[in-house]
Amino acid sequence: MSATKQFWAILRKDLLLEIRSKDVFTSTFLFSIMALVIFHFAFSPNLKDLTPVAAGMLWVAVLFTSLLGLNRSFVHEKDEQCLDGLLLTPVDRPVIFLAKLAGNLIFLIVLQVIVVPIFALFFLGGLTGAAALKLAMVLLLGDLGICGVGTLLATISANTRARDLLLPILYLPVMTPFMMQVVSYTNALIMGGTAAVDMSSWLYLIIAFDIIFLLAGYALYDFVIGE
Amino acid sequence: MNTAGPALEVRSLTKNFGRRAILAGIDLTLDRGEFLLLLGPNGAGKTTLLRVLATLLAPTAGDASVLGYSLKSDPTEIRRRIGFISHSHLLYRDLTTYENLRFYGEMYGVEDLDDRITELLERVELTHRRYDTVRDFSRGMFQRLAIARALLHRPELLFLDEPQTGLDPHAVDILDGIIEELRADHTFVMVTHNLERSLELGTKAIILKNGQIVYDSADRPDPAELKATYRRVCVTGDSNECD
Amino acid sequence: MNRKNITIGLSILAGVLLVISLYGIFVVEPVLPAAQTGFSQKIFYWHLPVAILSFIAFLATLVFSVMYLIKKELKYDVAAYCSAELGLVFGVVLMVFGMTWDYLAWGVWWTWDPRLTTYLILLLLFGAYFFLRSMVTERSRQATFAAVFGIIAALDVPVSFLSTRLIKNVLHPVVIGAKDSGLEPSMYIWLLLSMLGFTLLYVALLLVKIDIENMQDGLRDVKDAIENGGK
Repeated sequence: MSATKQFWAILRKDLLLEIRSKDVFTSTFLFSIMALVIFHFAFSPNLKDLTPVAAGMLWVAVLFTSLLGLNRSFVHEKDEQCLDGLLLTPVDRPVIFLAKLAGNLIFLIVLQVIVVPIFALFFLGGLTGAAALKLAMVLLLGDLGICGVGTLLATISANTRARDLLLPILYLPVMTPFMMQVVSYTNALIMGGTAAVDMSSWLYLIIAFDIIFLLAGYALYDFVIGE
Repeated sequence: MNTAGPALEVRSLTKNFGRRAILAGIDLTLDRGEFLLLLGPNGAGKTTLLRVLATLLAPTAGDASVLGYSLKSDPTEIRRRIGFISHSHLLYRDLTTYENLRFYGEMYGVEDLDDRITELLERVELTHRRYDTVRDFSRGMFQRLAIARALLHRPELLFLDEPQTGLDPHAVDILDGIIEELRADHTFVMVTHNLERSLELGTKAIILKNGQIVYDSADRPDPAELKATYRRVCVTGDSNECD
Repeated sequence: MNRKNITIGLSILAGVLLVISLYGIFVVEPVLPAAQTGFSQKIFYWHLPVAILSFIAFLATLVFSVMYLIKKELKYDVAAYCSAELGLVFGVVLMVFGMTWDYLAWGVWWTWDPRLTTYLILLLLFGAYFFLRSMVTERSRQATFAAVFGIIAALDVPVSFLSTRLIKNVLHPVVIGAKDSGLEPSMYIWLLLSMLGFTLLYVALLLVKIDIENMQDGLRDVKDAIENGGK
């Protein structure tokens, strides 16, 4: 009962802070658009049609953009040692993890709602209804994994000497195998599907990753936040 | 509510940072309603002790019961019942006064939150800043709001970590007034460098050095004896290590 | 028998076993016909044990990390760290073997085949592990963060292996477990000998490394004491 209230209190506080300082959202939005534009010019000399590499471009953009957002998610808590204030309240540590995770997830989804249509317009010439729905699903599954591990690793890196310098080093190698799956799946989706069997086995792996990442983050958060 | 027994009962509490012992076996008992002064040179472990007792740091060995709850097994119950005021104000700069207090109030599950906020803001004389973002507050205003934050959930035990540091006289007056009011039915533990000012408050005093208690007044401290011991512990050669 | 003697004994035994296995591999066993990859096949005798051991080393890091989080005793962190470092050394050796094999068999130094790719990711993960350690000075925080990241990294590995398999599996020969493994019974003996040799080498190196780390920690304590005393 009180855990739910606490969850909403943290989430609302984080979203309020995010809305107050629009700079993060603006910068991540601009960053992802610029990334897509740069990808276009990086690949277009050799490729007439960019659809075969579109899935990769999308996910690289998402991955690097999420880094910016994740790094920010702990900055408020480190100012003025607000984290101490949060830890002094009678809240179970996993609730903090879930609230932070939800905050990061909302941030990423809102961003994608704007950026992905632009991406589709740039590189795919629009999407059909069914494919768009599947794309939304794999994006959501991808975001879950990204935020599950990202929230944990961002908390670690925020508490080290390197601060935001460390997160990419920890986060990118952990995410690489996960990226292989989401990119393969998205690619098959965009290219009109290979064998249906392959696609579902990628999907299972994506879901397996999500479960592992979320459970690990949930179970290990207690250790990192108290230190 | 668990009202019987002492407010603090610390048994061979140890805290290591790596291999270095910051607290090397602390034993301490404090009755409810007392005002404990925690004195000692820099790096003696005062703040560490306070942070361990406030559940912000886990003890390496030993345990303590705070208001009847074990640090190790019942930290959440302890958190419900303690207030903590440190030199950092623990407030979010981009939120308003009200939003900050509402956030903390919801975290503590305060029932009559809006009334409580109004009451406390009046007490710390910040009612007129209720809907202002706290970003531009002066140090004194921050500290006053921090006091309101720490009292929101009506804690039974208050930890104060050098609360007067950097305060303007007005804020010190407000803080003193609040402490005076709460003394009757609250327990206090205060880390301080300012022996003169705090002598009249303390009903018990301990001096820490190198993570150990080197002086325990057991009862209301005798001012002359306490001052002499404090000086002896702090002053080595020409330097006073307590400032 | 004290620990130092055990370490020395293990090292000597490991050395002897590995030399014997070398003798067996290059002198006793005939070179396989070119159709079965010829001379380069000899890498396999050391390649497989090194692969298994680097895997064991990382697995040990996982186990020690979990132990640290449960017990909060620094000795587990030291063991986790030392084992991770050995895993990294074995891993780099493995990559060199693997790349050489690739080159001799297919004429390319690098292919994105599942196992090489998995190992590359694994090495990057543990590179990050060491970087993380260097970024935290406070000892117990360092140990906790490293343990948490070590666990995440270790969880990532099996799934990443599965992933790379799913993406494509073209080049890597599946030697053991295949119906016709192409191995003569006598070849297993040399393989087992080198496996045993490398295992003993790993244990000996781990013990030495842990001793060194403990000495360094002790030295740090002495330095701290001197600094504090001099103030």
